[in-house]
Amino acid sequence: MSKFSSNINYLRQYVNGELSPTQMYEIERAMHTDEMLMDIIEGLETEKSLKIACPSAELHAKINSRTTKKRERKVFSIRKFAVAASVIAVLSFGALFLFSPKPQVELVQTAPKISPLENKITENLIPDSTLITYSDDLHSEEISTAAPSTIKREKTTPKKETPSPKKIMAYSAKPKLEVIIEGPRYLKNQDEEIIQIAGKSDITAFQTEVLNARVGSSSQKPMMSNSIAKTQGDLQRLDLDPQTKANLTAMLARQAQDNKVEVKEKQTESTISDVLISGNTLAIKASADSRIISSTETFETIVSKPIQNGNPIIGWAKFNTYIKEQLNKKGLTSYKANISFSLDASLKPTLIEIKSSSDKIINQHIKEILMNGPTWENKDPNHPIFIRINSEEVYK
Amino acid sequence: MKLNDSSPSLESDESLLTKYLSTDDLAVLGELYARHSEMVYYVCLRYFKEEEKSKDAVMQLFEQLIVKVKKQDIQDFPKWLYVVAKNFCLMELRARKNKIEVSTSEFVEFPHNLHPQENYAEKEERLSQLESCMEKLPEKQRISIDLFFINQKCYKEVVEITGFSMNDVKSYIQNGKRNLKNCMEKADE
Repeated sequence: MSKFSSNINYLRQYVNGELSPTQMYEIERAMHTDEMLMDIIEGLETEKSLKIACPSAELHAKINSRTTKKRERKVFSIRKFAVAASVIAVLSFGALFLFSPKPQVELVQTAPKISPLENKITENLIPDSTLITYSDDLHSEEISTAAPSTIKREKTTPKKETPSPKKIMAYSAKPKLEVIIEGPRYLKNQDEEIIQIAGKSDITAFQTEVLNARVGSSSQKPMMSNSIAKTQGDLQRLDLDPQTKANLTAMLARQAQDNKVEVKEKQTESTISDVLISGNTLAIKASADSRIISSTETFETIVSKPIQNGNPIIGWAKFNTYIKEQLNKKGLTSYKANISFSLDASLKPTLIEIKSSSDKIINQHIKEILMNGPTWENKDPNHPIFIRINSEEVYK
Repeated sequence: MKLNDSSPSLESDESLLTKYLSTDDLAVLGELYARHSEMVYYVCLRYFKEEEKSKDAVMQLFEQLIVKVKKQDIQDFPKWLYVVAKNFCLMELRARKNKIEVSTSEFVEFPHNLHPQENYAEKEERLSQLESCMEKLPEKQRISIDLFFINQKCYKEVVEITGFSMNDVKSYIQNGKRNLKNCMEKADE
């Protein structure tokens, strides 16, 4: 190989006639001994005759591209792709698992016939909660189950408990209503009806609290005794455990004796106000016109509707005595206050709020007294405990 | 190590070849091939007479090189590459039917001994035979051979002196050279 073979530019000068005769002769002489040089020069002459541009840069770019492409292929090897695909697959399954919808409770209407009494009951109800009613031959009188939408399904709809349901009704949920919960007081209103969970004897729909929403007018006193008697009658027909039945009976008896009626009437047209609280104190309105008065509304003028969603461990009698003693030490003999509070981990009152009180001085002491007082149980952990202390009720 | 770097690598062809064989790094082979890609292109252009075909041939040869360099013991890379390129072009031309027929004699073989040693007496004898053969050449071939080989005139000058065309001069020199060779071979017999 001659020295000229690798110098294309020099050879191009030769082809273009830009070299001296001596330089040209050197190349031509070399051509006769170097076949490669001759081929290159003939190629250059072809380029000149075809008027082709020099392809040097293009060739280098193509080669560079080719070698770079190979290098990229090495970087993204099959193994790396496999690992990446595996990671993506795992993440995808995880995402599907996390965000897939939970299986919904299917409510199916199964019974074609509805007994007349069931119709009567259900006609008077305003659907505001998931409500499932069962009926069979043995229990066909009053059947109505009121439960929040979040209540455990096995409580109300197990197949074993309702082997032959004739009707299942489902209602959409409404927001929970605020209610006034009063500790030591019991049912006071005269117009009251209890719509009780009914079903077979093995349906253990425990009633832990009773909310009495007074709808009728206070002037309708003649109605009260009848209503209580009716409620007592209903209570006797229910399949409740003896303890609960005894508690409710005592409650009703005490209610009948209560002469104070402090319920403010909101809708005098309404004749029935039945509120049943089960588990988490969800109130159900039985009439579109009836209304449960919230503690947030004109609290001073509204008589509370007692709900026992929290009890002092030592009992109400001892608690009232404790309150009285503590306030008497502070020089307070007559007092009245409405209080709400939550429970801490040790079941002691915390976040105590004095909603109203008869004396501002009470406010200063009541928090300390409650915090140093007995522990509490809250049957409705979702809501704070509301109590009312009253010096007149201590001995009741 | 990029091919488009303005500053060429100082590494020799042998070094790059060894590096590629040891590392299998295509970029190294690319750099080595890029140095001689123009040579390959013009060799291909000389046979194909087509620009695009010649460019494609350059890249096809690079693909062949990736494998071939590992299989052969390469002493002189540019010369080896030239032989590979020329054979590739001739094979392509042969594959083209109804086109130029290429005889197998044109295929290049690697010369085993490019410079056979001769002693002085043999040289003198061969020069005498050459002068004798020169006398037997046709006049145009003899004039062109004389001006080019003995008087060391380039083609352009031969054209100017003789008045022949450039192609005629090239042809006379080429043919005269072949005739002298034949004459010398006959004298050797």
